[in-house]
Amino acid sequence: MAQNTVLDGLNRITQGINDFVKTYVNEIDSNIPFSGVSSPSASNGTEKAAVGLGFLAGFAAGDGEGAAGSRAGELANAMGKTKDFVTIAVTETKEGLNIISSSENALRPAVRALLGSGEVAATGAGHAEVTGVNTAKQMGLTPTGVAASRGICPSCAQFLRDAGVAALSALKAVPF
Amino acid sequence: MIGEEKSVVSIASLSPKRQLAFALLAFERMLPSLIAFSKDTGFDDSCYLRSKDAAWTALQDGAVDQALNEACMRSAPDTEEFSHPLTSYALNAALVMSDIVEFTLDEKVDHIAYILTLVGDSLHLYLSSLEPSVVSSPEKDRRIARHPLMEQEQRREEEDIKFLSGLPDQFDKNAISALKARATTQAPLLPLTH
Repeated sequence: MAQNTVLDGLNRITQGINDFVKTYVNEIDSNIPFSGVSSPSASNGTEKAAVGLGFLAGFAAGDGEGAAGSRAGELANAMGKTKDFVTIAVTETKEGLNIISSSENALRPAVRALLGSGEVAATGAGHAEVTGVNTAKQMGLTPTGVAASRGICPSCAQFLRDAGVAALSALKAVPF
Repeated sequence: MIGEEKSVVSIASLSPKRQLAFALLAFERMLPSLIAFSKDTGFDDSCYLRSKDAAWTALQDGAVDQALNEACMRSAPDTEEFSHPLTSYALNAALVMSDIVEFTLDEKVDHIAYILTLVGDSLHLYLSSLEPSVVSSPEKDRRIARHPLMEQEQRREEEDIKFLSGLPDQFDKNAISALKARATTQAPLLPLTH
């Protein structure tokens, strides 16, 4: 009896959180001028949901954002406090290889040490997301999606839309 | 970097004041990149310079105000906001100073270990930039690890440890003068050629 009451309580709390997130994302969708980062092509709402969830999560990629998002966060954690100032991006390709890039000219050794088979370390200055997509193309691969360890900035989001590549993690909220 | 774990073991055997002095010597080698970055971009490096002075004072007496560290962390250069080629080295210098301040408060050797990692990261990123390529490779990593600049930094760290071991337990004015002389005469971590 007592156990059921506790479970009922937990279910109500879980439902409440779900309702809050749905409401929050809908509110962003309808009221806040996120047109700079929200894509009309995101017909399934994934990108807009990512904006909302990113806002809630302090713009960090977190659980529930898929394998690439989790991997980007995991690799960034290897950098210690540097992770708050450097972005790691995971670019998925049609061919199955993942390109790992950063917002610096190369990956730091702690990140390099974590790379496994099927992951390629990209080099090159600029934002991690752009470096990842460009590296994939230079290697003759087809980039399909990019996740980043920090919020994807509006210019990178636009770059990804133009390139037909999906944003797989939260977008950076623009102050308004 | 090469010998990083070995250096941490050697440093851990030093007294906290000597560990702090070791970290300050490393920071002074990284400082030219931060100053050059600030001059080129208008980045305000004043809190790092104030923290540096406070840390030198702490060698003789006390710790550094945590508020100063918080200010430094807030203003550290973000690699997405600056495209200047020295951004990563300036960031690493800023983070080294943050760990130095934290070390004056808790004396945990983890901060010194992280400082060594940041020194190695700066060298790795610099050496990577000398060999432009689309992707990194294990061969390139090995070449970087064996580069004379990497070996030179490892030697300097070992020499610093020997030098610090020879100083008295309590740093008097003579010891501080000797340390400052060493700090000002050492070559920077990276050759600034941009």
